Amino acid sequence: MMRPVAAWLLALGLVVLGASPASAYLQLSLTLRGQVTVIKWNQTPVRWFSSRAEAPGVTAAQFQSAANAAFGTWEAVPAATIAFQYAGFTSATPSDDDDGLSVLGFESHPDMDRTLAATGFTIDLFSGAIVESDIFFNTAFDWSTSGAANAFDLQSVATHEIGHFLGLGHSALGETELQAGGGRRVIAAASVMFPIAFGRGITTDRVLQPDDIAGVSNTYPAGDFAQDTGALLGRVRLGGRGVFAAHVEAFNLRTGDLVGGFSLNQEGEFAIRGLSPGLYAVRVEPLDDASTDSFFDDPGTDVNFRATLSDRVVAVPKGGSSASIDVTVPSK
Amino acid sequence: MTRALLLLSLLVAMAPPAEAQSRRAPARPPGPRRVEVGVGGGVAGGLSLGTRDASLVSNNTAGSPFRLFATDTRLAPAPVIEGRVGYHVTRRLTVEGVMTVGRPELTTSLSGDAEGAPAVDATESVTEYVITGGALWRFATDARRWTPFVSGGAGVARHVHEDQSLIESGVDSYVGGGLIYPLGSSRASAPRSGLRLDARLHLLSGGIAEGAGLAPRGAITGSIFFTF
Repeated sequence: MMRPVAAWLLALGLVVLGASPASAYLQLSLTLRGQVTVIKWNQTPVRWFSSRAEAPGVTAAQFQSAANAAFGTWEAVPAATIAFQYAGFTSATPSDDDDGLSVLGFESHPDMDRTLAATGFTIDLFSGAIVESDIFFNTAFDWSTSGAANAFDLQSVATHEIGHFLGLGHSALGETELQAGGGRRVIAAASVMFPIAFGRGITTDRVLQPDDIAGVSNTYPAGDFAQDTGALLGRVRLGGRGVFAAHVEAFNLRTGDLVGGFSLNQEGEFAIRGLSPGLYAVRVEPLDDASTDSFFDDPGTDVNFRATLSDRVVAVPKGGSSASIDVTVPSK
Repeated sequence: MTRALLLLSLLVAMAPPAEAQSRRAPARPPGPRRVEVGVGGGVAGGLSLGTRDASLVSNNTAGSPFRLFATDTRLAPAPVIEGRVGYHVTRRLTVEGVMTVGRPELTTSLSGDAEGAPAVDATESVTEYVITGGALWRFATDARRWTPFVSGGAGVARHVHEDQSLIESGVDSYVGGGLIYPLGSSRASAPRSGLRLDARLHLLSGGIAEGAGLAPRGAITGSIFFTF
């Protein structure tokens, strides 16, 4: 009999004016018994509870409705099999970890003045399966369910956090600028999973982007997803060596879809999976739009190179992988 | 494919002349030559496959696009070889099937990067097969001089990308015209061999031109043909 070994493993937050890097879709993973294991739910539908906590301007019912809509957004991805089941209100809180309940709700964390919300997990350390996930929304900020100009959009932030709830990490598909008072302001993004939130009153993150859709579809593939999509393979090189944790962006020249990935080993190799078959342009950039530790625990992230457009057009086949390309980047 | 076309043309060239056959069987006058086989080559023009921006969503309520970089994709002009089989329905009308093979370079210009990455031309080679069926109408039936004609047809254009992992198929339609010059002739039938010059306007939709609408390109070919 396998007994779940509970671990309060990760807490991924969506920050405001905070320091977090961005890159294309990233599946959360652990090294278990020497094997890199993607963490994900192994059984669906996933039951979730809504806490009864309220915030100024948002009732518990409004909170539940916004969260339900955000779950529905992920559930509606045609190429993914994930499903959810609302299990009701609970007096449990998101901070009650390892209670067997996945709870979403408001909590007050005034000390976390740059964290809008955060997601935590309990993982079965034998299988890598998520057995519980909780999300808190910080009442230190103003919230709205109607897109009010002076508050953060609850449904947009919930959509981001539910991406973590599903096992997705942060995406780096975005551009930021440094703020005079510290931290970064996002200029633009192409993924709900970008780690820095859009401003107050902006509801665009209620809608998933191609990068998010590729991520959830690759984690919970439906039917013929693997046969209907392909992978773009390559290496990022700098001065003859591989670059670890470079952000690689694949741009479909026909559809305009932008999907990202990372070089994930010391050889600089990357594989962006779940792409629509077609021709792609490739761009590589350093993870310099936020702090690198919001993506990787590894301190070896290399950001000392400049953004580069590849001189190869890459054909991604249906149900297979492209020929591997090398992208050589110049140092800063 | 090239080998097959060459073999076909050799076989046609080695066939005994119909005149000699008729000498051996004087009692049976030759029938009209109806089948025509031709091989040749030429140039297929370039093809614009459109411009597109890689865009992010701006941090504003309108969610306006923020350009990360811009792309402009085109297929370069390239030499092609052509094989053709026709059937003379009448002295003026021929129905025919045409296959052309080329290896153009696909180029995407990447520019305007938001973080100042240098602009580049990203390239790959594709092998292009265009197989069409169509009709040809001669404006004259005198088989002893240059004869103008018009032609038109449609078929499929297949593009096999560099590592042969991706094949895209679209619809190719064409209109064109040209001249036929006999190398050997008979008043009673079509020339037994000749030269043909074609100029065509192709319209490609779907396949490699997906999203680019009806993409036009020109093509000029010359060929030698034989009838039997």
